[in-house]
Amino acid sequence: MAIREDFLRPRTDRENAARRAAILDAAEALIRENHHQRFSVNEVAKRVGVSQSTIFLHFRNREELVTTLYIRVGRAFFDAFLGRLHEGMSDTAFCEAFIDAAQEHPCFRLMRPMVMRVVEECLSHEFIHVAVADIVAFRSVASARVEEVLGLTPGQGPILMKGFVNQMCGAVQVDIRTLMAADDMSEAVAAAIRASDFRSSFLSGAELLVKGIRHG
Amino acid sequence: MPVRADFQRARNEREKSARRNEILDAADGLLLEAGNERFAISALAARVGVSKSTIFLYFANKEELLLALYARSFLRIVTQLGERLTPGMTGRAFCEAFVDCVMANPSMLLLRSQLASTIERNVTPEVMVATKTEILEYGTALTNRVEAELGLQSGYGIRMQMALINLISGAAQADTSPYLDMESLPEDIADFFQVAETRKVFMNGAEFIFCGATGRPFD
Repeated sequence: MAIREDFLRPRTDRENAARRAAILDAAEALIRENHHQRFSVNEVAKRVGVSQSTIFLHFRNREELVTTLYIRVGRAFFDAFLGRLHEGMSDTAFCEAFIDAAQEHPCFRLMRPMVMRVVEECLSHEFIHVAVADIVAFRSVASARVEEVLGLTPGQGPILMKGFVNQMCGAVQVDIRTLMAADDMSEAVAAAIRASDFRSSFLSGAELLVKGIRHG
Repeated sequence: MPVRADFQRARNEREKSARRNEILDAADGLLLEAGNERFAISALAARVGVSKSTIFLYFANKEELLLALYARSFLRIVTQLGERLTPGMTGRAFCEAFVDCVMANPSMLLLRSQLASTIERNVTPEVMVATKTEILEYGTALTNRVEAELGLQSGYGIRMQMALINLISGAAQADTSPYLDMESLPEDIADFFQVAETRKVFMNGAEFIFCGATGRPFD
């Protein structure tokens, strides 16, 4: 059955799914635009053009919406990363593939600090169960592919992926290049600020990690 | 000149610096209790027992105060880690010392997460450059010692330290253990969250960063 254009109340599963996707799209757009800012269900509702209570038909509370979106943007990021991998690529190219995907898909790292604060509240065990299973599933796929591409032994992929995600999320915290004009500081300070640029800071550490895994 | 006990108005440089430290100590405590979102200057002033305007004599705004606190925590970590360095220590011993010192000064990680997004947007360039310069000086001194004591090639000390700081910041960000009551969770879910504990995640990645930087085994 086709989706009626501009439907007010979803009548079919398809329309329901479309509405759900529209809500997630709106929330994602808000996060992209406001960066670290928290978004409210009210804002999401306004953007979709529905009432707040409609949002709560699809997500029991704000926390479920946040977590569901986090899983979606996480999957999008990992898919983009896997799409950039190919057999025989160098370790440097591999690290670059990761940071390129991270720059293209900023919502994953923007949402990561948010989601840790919501897990305690308002999430049912049942919901957490499904969410965790989902995350574990796509992480395993990513790790297996990483092991294959880099020729690592089983078990090294997850360590590498975890190390990469953490270094990436840590590196972005001190990226202040855009906030500072480099003309009123000493060369040493300017150099330090350049080195803490998101991309260079990540790549420098990521290459050490890959090298270490190969050694070990 | 000594610091008079219980002075109300700081009159000389020493008393001023004592008061400044006292404000930062109180801010440290408040930050850990309230979290950075609910951190308010009025609560801080009440805790120190001064008026809000006294706080603003020392720090132009909340962000400048938090940046000063960040820098102080960072320097303390550097100092404490410096004290634990021994010639030829193993990678594991070094990384354990590193995580101990970072966890002993939790404000650093808490504030680092808002550095780029809020703190540094509301601080004058002069203050920011002065802070960066101070952190860089202390950091470089430590880096030189780390390179010497652990036998790292020049340039690898800073790379390793930067990688370790990024790693622990990312790991702490995903650590749900402070927010969850593990006892109430079903076992398999608890397992999933437990492996996300900061120290564990850090040590797993740090091992390979160390090996990559030194070419040596971890133990």
